[in-house]
Amino acid sequence: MALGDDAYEEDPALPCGRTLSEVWEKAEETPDDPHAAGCPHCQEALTRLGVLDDYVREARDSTADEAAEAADAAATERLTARVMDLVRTELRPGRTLPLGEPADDVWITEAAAAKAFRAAAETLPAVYAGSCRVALTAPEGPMTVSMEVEAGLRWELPELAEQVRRRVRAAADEAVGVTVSAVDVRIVDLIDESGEEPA
Amino acid sequence: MSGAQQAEGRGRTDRELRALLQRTAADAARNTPGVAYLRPGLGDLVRGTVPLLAAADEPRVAGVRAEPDDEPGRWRLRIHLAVRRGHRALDVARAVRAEVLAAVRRAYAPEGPEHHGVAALAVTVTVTDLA
Repeated sequence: MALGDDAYEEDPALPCGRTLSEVWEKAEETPDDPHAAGCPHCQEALTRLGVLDDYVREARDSTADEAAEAADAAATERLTARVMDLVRTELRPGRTLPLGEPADDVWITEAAAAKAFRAAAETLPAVYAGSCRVALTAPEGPMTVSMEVEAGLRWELPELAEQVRRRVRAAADEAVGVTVSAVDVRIVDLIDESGEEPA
Repeated sequence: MSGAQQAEGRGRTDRELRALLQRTAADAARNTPGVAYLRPGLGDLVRGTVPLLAAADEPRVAGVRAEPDDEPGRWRLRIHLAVRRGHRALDVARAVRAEVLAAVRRAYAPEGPEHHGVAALAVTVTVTDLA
């Protein structure tokens, strides 16, 4: 298996040229997109996504405890989000990255590695990870990680960046099993933890 | 391998062998510690009009694909799985590969019950999610 061999094979194009994940993203970003409205292929794909969404909600609702209806609605939202997240992970796995030595023939998708790195960054208080890209500096590694984070105003920025780097490196070693040569941290927003946006 | 066994091996179609290999591999992978689940293929469910990679009548097992290689008797297994949090992805992937190879060898060894037509096997494991 060559590097990045099946990078996007899981997200093939519809006959109209759009990939499933593009159809999904467009539907979320521009609900009145004229192409999707008139395209039978996009419409069928969106219908199927809707069916899955409905199915998960229905499955969750059918076991609902009426006494805990409000808590249950939140649980339904969480479960639905998890299933849809799983579908996204399948549709957009990103590049396939090598784990271990070439003889191992074991791999990890960029989406799975990024999930470990985002979770590691979010173990820090008032830190929320956004986009995370993982790239190879050479065909067999090491890797570089580029992550965007939002953080509470309590943080000094250089300290925040250093702490995120440490957590990501630790996760690379302990949770994934890859060598990360550089972690590029972009702080994209500061959050007023009292709930108000800073001026 | 005796002539009779070879004949029996040829008698088993690639389709049947594919189904057997996929089931054996799936069971071995699923039971490896640290595996959360084999990739369920929800992406297939939402693909709609997109033609699937495998023909509709081909045996499908979630998270496992068996493909005959160019040479007769050589097969490749591709396994996609999610690793449970708290386990190291590399260690789990290596363990799955070893377990699958061992399980297939046990089942398909010349003296085993399902030796038919598997001369060599390559196993590729890809971690697609952390759960």
